[in-house]
Amino acid sequence: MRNSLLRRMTLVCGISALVLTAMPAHSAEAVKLGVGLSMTGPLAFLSQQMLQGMKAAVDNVNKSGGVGGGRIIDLVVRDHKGVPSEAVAVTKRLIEEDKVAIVDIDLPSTVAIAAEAVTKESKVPQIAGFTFAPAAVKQGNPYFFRACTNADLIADALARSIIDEPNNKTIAMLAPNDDYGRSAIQALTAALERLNGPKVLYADYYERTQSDFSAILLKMKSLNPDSLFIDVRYPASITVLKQMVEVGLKKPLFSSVNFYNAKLAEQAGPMMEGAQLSVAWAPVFDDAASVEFKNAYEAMFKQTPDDSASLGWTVVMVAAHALKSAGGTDSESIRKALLNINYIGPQGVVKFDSNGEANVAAHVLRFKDGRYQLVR
Amino acid sequence: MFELALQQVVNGLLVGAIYALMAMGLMVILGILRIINMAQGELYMLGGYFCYVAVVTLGVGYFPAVILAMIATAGVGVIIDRLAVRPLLRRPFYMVFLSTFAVSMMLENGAELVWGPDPQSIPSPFSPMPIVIGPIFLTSQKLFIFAVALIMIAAFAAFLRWTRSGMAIRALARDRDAALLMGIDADRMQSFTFGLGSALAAGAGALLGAMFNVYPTMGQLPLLKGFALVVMGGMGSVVGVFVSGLILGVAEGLTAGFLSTGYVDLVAFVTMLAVLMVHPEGLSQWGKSRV
Amino acid sequence: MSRAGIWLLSLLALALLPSLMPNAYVQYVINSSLILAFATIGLNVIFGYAGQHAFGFPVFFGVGAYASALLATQAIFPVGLAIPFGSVITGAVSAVIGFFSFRLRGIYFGVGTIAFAYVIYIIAQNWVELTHGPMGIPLVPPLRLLPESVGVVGRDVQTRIAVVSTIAIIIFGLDRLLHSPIGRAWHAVRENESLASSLGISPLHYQMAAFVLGAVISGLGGGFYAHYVGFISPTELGFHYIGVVFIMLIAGGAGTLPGPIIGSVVFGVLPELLRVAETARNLLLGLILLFCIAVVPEGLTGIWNRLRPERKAASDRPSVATVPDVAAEIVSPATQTGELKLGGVFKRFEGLTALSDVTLNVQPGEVVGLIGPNGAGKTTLFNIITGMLAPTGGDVFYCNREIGGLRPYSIAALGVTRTYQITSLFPELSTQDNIRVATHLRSCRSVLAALLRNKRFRDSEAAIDQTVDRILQLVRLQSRCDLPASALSYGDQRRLEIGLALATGAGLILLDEPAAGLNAEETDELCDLIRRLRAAGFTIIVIEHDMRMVMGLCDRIVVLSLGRIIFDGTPTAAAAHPDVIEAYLGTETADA
Repeated sequence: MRNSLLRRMTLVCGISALVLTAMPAHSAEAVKLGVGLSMTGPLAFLSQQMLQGMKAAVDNVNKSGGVGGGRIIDLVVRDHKGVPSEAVAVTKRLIEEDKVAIVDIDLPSTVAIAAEAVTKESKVPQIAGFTFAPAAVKQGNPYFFRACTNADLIADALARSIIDEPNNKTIAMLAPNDDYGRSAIQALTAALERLNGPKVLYADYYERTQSDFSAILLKMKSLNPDSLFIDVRYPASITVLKQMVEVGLKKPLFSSVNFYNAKLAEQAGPMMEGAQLSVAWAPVFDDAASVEFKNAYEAMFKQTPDDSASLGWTVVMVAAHALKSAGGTDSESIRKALLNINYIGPQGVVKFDSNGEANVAAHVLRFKDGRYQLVR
Repeated sequence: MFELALQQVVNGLLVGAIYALMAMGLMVILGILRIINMAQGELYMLGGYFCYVAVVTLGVGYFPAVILAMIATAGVGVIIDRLAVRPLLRRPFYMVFLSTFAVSMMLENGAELVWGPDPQSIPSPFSPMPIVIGPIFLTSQKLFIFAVALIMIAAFAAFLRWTRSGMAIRALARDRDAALLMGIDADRMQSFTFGLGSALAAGAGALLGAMFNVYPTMGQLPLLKGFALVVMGGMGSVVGVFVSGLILGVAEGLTAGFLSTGYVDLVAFVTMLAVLMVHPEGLSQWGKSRV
Repeated sequence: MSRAGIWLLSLLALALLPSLMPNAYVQYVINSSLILAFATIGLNVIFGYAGQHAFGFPVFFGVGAYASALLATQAIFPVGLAIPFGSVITGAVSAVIGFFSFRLRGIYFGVGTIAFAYVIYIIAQNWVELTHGPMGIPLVPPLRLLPESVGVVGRDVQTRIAVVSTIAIIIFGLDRLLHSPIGRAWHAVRENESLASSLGISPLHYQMAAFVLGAVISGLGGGFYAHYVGFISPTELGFHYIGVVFIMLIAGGAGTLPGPIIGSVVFGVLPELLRVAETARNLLLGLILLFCIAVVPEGLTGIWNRLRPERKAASDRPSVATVPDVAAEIVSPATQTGELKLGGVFKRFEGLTALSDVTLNVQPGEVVGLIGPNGAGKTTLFNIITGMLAPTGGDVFYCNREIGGLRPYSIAALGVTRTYQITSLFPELSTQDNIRVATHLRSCRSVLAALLRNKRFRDSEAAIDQTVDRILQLVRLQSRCDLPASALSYGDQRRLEIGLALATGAGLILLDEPAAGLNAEETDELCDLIRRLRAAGFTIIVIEHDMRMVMGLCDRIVVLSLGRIIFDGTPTAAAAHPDVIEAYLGTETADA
């Protein structure tokens, strides 16, 4: 009986080994774009939206002739759960096993930075579509390109709105205790200082697992700032808004794309009235690129796209344009093509400087009467 | 400054009652049965999710949904007892730790697969408008939870003290074999107590799920803080756990108010470690025996 | 093939075979699993060998990762130095945590280590100046064994060779430690902590040693990890690691040498094979852990051991042939013997006075019988003399040294040992290994000597083998020397206990009801043994209820009743003393 157990185990191991070594064949005419996102974890929702934007772009590109020479784009999507070490594994897998031409590892910024160690060594182009951390372009990786806006530009846009708010001398801030939150507050504080804006009385960070904010809101209330920067993710944002009412804290509110959320508007609309938030994009944009994007997305998914979807669309478009003008799928040609690219997307012009930074400006919306309106 | 401190203290008391409620279920299983149930946090989580399902999918009212969630989770608890705890009772106790840890991993992943990883919110019947008493802001929801915690604790203490089942549970905790000899069905009593502990955890999860959100990993921190409370409060003492919960709530509130939010979670652990350093064998009899 | 041969081949295969894999991603997975094996091996030292359930232990892997990464990026250490220095720092941190954790008993120890692990995580998240908080530490320099120009051997292969070589060295060292007094001490502490203590093994000393050693090994792995992945963030210190490492250890086989490596490789690679397990990974791992606990607690290694044919006599020594009862040469006390003096000793337990005003002198070479009704305090007195309890008042001197209140292992080192009323042995160990453990005080306990196997060590082990042999012959257990102690008959176990007492080399031996459960013939043998021990220079105090034995054997009788000495003199005088008769002897009649 023991021996049959051993035999069975050997059989299982043998089959597993076969499965491991057998690779599915890929069609030769597709150029692969490797995507690593946080399909599980706190950024799953944003990842989902971004992926949809990407798919809409892929569809659009392939329908209009692909990337030249009859080739179409193929997306290979893998989940890194938002963990940097997993992202490293995912990047290696995309490069070595899936043999992609370009990688895009996003959400949160730490995974993009972690992936840069791999793309730098393997010399594979990496385009970031949703990575705001300023440090991302400072890793000395000539293959890294940031196609979206960054924390400094976001802070700059919002800072101007904060300064425009009348009687605004002091501000208190709250953001998540992760790299996004810390860079957001760091950048905003620096921008306000640079532009002689309101003084930052207090800044604190909340843990992802935190559910009760009353203590910190009470602290903020006791300091009596003139305005608040509350950059809290959904659905904790609902709790925060509710608890602000509960402790009687009502001030002009500033936030980020985290407050740009249909469900949040639905459940906490009145509490958000008048809030201003920084975004990369919003459906109210009506320039040509945005219209094209919205039409394609709505045709495919029957719903209005959001900020994250637009970032997904942009990064695929940038990759596609580069592939078209590159002529080949080797890393050097793609890299050269990216350096020469000049693409007008829904968020604005994407043109990379020598550091791989596109310097795409951010925008500010105001939530008024239940709708988001463009401010700048 | 004084006003801030006062408000933080009041707020801390309310939060503390919540912690005590979370820890109550753990206290039953850990403090009385002396079983380390690492899945306790997941029972709390399931209570929240079952309540969510009852309210959102089945359309039941909020308060009946809480009761339903408690009953359903009690069932889950009994199953865990039968499958993962009972067969390992004669083995070294860390086996139970590991088996319930495995169960907790499975429950957490299972919840993620069934309901998705995103947090869900349970529509709450409470209004967010504050009740203002002088400089103090309160909410009806927090007061309700405080009241519920008090009632549950009193009821549970009375149950243990004065009912036959309660006495049977205490006898079982003291000496299992002697209890068996006295004609107490130890197995059934253990399952019953396990179910009771699960129901209490579920109740906390359902009540708090409406105040915050329900998500698959919501049970992790309550488990650890619950341990801290049970240790500090004295393993078998209902009142001890309640008081420790209040103290923890206030301490955390003051930390958030005067230091930084990030270090708030440290309070529970540092306090627990401090207590254990002074009383290495815990604050009650239990720690003295070699397990 | 010999054990060493199997090991060598397996390690070589681990180092070289993965290069044949179809793509570098698979190599990456295997490398990561091998690096995680350090954490599993480290956990095995504290959990598998020393038997301490430190649930939060895997955090030291992350600590090592941070330490090495910070040394390399902030202090600009070369990677080759950052990794070992990082593991030293980890060892230092673990020493502090261990110091506080080991003050806790029972479940609090395990929960305490989890609390410490969580505290470390919170510090990493929030002490941004040091650890960069949630932003993590990027650009951790990679480990390169060869200069970059030599591109033939890729970084993956270099890392794997470095990792496998380090694991090989660690395994080699651990194997040597396990087959030395240190390894025996770990096993003893794990199986029966109080017995180990009374045999001269300080439990805390060896537990701390295992704790720090395990942490250093884990930290080493963490260092390799940091320089392989290139990015460290607080997630590395997170909770999910704890579960994964425990599963790897238990499913691989806790307490064995290959177990952690097998567990890490199999359960590091397995989730990658099962593609469906992308989302259901934890569900699957939880199931595996449950299955292991319920069905195969010894893990994969245990299954493998069960499948192999039974090995004859695990030791390399020739098995001792059955020898008729030749009066074996008695071992003599290894420590100096002297007078035992108790002065006014009293012991109170929260309202109950167990002993009061006990004054007693025992000369070297005496056999003293301690008798009295049940509950008189005889075992309590033994407990006080051997250090299991501290006297509430009064003093205890042996060889003119104050021993009252000392720990059992310190008292054992001074030459006092005992046997127990309820048999206390190491059930899993063989008969001869039980005795071998008890020779701890006489052994060469130096770590360096154990690792180097120098002459001093080899001579010491050879002398111990001889001593074990002689004691086996003396207590007539040579024919059963390889049976586990739990398989011995009751009478054999009692004799083995005496063997343990002799093995310590103590000159003063306290026997607690050694004749309980023995028949008349066995009792006579026991008396004979005790007489021979007296002749060899031992001092013996015996607690007994068998009057015939006591009267015939002892030079002196001390009678204890309700915590007080009511008689101290010759056996004949005792039998005639009215107090003694009233308190104890009462209706004693000659055994029919």
